[in-house]
Amino acid sequence: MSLPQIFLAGNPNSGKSTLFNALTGLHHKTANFPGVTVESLQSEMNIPGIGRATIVDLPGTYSLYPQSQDEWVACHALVNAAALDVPVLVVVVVDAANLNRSMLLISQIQELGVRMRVVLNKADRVANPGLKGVVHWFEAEMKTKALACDARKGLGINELTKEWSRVLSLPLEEASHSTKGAWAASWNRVFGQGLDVQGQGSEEIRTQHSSETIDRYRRINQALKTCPMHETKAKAALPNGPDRILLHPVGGMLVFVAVMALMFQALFAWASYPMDGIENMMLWAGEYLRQIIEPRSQALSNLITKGLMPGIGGVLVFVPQIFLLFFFLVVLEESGYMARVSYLMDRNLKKIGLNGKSIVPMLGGFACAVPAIAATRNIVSWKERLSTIMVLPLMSCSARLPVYALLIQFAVPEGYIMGIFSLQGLTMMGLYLIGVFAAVLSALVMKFWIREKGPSYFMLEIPTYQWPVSRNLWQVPWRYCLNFVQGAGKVIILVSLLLWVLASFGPEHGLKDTLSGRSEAPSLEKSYAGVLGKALEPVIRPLGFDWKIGIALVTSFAAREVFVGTMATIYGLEGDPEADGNERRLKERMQRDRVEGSQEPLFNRATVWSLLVFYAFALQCMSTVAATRQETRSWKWPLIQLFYLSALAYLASLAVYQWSL
Amino acid sequence: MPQRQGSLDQAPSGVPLQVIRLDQSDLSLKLMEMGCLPGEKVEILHRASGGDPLAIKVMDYVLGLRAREAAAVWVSWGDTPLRNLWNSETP
Repeated sequence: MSLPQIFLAGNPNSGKSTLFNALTGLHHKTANFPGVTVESLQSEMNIPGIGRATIVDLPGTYSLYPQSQDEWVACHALVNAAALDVPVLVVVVVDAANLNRSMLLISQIQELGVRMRVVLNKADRVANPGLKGVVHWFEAEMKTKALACDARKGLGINELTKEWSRVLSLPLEEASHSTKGAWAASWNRVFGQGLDVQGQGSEEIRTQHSSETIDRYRRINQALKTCPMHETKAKAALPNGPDRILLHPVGGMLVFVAVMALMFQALFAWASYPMDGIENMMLWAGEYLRQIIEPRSQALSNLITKGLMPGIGGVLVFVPQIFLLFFFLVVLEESGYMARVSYLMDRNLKKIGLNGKSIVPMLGGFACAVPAIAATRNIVSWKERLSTIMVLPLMSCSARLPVYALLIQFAVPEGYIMGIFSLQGLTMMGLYLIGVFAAVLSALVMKFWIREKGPSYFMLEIPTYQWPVSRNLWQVPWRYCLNFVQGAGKVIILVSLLLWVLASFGPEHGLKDTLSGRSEAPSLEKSYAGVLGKALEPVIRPLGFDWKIGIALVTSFAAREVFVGTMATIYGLEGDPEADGNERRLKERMQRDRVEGSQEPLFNRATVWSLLVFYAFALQCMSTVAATRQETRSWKWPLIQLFYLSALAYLASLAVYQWSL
Repeated sequence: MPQRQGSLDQAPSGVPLQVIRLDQSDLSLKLMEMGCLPGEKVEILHRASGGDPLAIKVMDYVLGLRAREAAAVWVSWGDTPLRNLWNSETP
């Protein structure tokens, strides 16, 4: 906290986050979510003449009267900025083509008694002479300095930091418009404790805020009379003509389905090449390490090549798919299409007790439920927000991808329909649809079951179409993949190691004996892991699962993606050391396994379908439980979520297995 | 066309409208923040199936909102000269 603070504030869609990314590059403290600034994202940057400064990207807001959780986060930070004991600069980022609407927030922040500067962003979209006039007008009429920039292309950034450096070194009295603290005090009385679930406090306060806003707009519009705003008329980056189809009740829906189909087809078809590459690389690296280490220590070699390497491989192998998924989400969000989908879906989502705004977290849920749960904060109604959170884990997240990808191979043959649609790709899409269908049904149940009240509304800016910024197209997915490998990676490696220990030693084969070579390593069945799986078997037998799958269910309870690593470890331990390279592939080894006492493959169609459905529904993710706990501020909702999803998974698997036998 | 007035959700599409007043409700503050202020020019661009939600043009941007929310906005249209009370621009 000892560093000077720079707060980026502004309306949603003002290009605030693009500016933040342009200023800071890849070094962020919290993970961001495509397009949506969920947390206050923080980073450090160099300000010439000042040194290091903390820069914070606040969630977008239209005024300092918050009506949703994310607006509250932004407003709370701004109102209390003056009380910090380090120099603070508030930078209000404004869409230069839409100055009018941003003036409300600017004029409110001017009364907070903090250093403030305005950034006229998206300068490329307005005519240059007009822009100069507006800059001049800000200086003359609003007594504040505005600087133009184009954050997408990174133009004007140097001038911004130079000006910020100057402002930060000025004494507060010279740099701010007012030092009145009264406003902040009254704000804190009303909103300081956070938003109550009912919304915005009492009727009386609302009326007061309404009349204050009308008054303020009157003053703003008086001042705007002299502003040469009309000379900055937007030169739209892309015409809004496509909206005639994309916002059409029928056409828009068809386009949406087509976009989703393309996305999943690509996810399955395109990602398979780098995935094969990574798998081969891991096999090669494992073999290389084995040759180096084995002559020195058999036990260490086993630990690394059979415990650790399959676990790491299991994580790395689905990085390409996660990257592609986030890439698509960034394209949808930044192009402005996501807002249109929200608009298009609001009517249907309202019917099942959700909100048009639920679509952003729900599509995000295809990537990861954890940031998606936090992304529900812009849904105003607590009931709609809660319902969204409760059904979110049913959207098949990227952690299920490797599980699906591995298992589908056993249930569906390779092949194409009409030469372009891969059968396995279509199955994958089917699994996602099952999840969506279950989410719709669950939302309907929640609608009648959850008894929470509060206003519900849907008001959403539909931004002008624009080409996504190329920088964000790789930076956002990359940052998330990095986060994933570091975060989930730790869990997977730990679980893999633990599993290896449990699978290598058993009640009759002590640790000391095995390590010293006095005793042979136990067969998997006789190991601790085997004993555990056997104990679970009676419960999961009706679903078609044996004790080996039981082990994987236990290990993947913390995180589903561990399933693949567990399979790799289990079959790695049992694998034939003489097998050639291709035979060492997990798929072949699993295929050879038989149901005990018969010739039936263990991974037969009925079992695999049952397993697929189980993974589609079950809440096997500690992080999701933690995120729900944090957002609902109670244990009640995460426990209900865990219980209903587990029951759903068990019953659905049971039905699928018994039916397909 | 003679001058008419009514709530925004009932107003015709593709016709210049002017906001007269807002019904006082829990929505009015949010509507104002989004630019639906007395005197502003608005225009209905798109309606989803069943007329809900609708997309309007206001303050030079496009806003999507539900019919119930639009019902709180009273607008006039027709052959009265439309004059934006605050913007320097006149039609």
